[in-house]
Amino acid sequence: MKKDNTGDIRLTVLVPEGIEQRTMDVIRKRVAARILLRNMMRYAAGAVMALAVTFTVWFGVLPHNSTKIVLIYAFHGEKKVEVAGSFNGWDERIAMKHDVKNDVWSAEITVEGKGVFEYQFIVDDVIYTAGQAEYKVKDEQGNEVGIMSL
Amino acid sequence: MDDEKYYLTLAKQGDYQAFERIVKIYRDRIYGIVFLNLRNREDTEDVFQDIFYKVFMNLKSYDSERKFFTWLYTITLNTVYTFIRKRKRRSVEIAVEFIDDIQVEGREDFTREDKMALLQAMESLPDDERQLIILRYMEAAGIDEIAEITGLSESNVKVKLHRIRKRIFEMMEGHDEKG
Repeated sequence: MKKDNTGDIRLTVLVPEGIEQRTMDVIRKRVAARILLRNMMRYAAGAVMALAVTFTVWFGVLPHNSTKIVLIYAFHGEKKVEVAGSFNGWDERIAMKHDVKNDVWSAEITVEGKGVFEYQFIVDDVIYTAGQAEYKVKDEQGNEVGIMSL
Repeated sequence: MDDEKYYLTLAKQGDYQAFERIVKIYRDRIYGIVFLNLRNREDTEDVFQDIFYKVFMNLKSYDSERKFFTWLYTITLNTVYTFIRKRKRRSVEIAVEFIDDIQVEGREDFTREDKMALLQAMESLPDDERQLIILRYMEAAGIDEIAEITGLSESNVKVKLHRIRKRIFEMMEGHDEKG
């Protein structure tokens, strides 16, 4: 066959039935997914913001629920005085400083939370006492334990 | 065309039904262009859907002073090329499915072999010329639209199309002589 001219050719392609409906379904689903994602991003951003605020509040940019107290023990020539208490779970002995000017041992302690706390001074590693605490009780060994309420 | 403008205005406001009308208006042309480039039904439908999703999402940026098809065609070609680049799935061979889904009109004397020779001749053209002849053979765009797409004058488009058709004819002649 001689094809003397290809200029009058017209090509048509068989288009699958229902392609426009399927396309519209895809568009609707994608748009819905996009909106959902955008909302999720908004919520996520909100959650991150809330966490940031909580973090900021908790770690001290804003005041949080802790109290600084100064414990005092009268100086009587002791070599060292420490203090421990329920405010730190009795885990750690905090060394007190000799305040020569006022002739006392003192320690500044940060207590987290509110409530009633017990404490005890340890004098030269051998004496366990509440010192001049206003409120005191005795422990199982008969040693005095100071009581403070915050 | 007035209908098209009306539906485009509604579709810009997020009207799905109006946009479906737009899809229907351009369905055959866009599907044909994509299919002649990808030669695979499944890929063509995926890309077709992707094109119209992009169009729907970006309708607000469409400048209504321009011809809509010109804008749509730009998105179509970009999506096709992106797909080919990502998937590397444009088959070089001409599959049976591909030949069967294409019909040649206006030439009753065209055999299946002639159709294959025509498609092979089109395939061997440089990309820009192939896109041009696809537009013309699909009757997807008028000379004025092709001129806007290519940036050529209408007379230049006519000359270029004439040369491409001549080359296709020569390649088909060569095919006949070999056969």
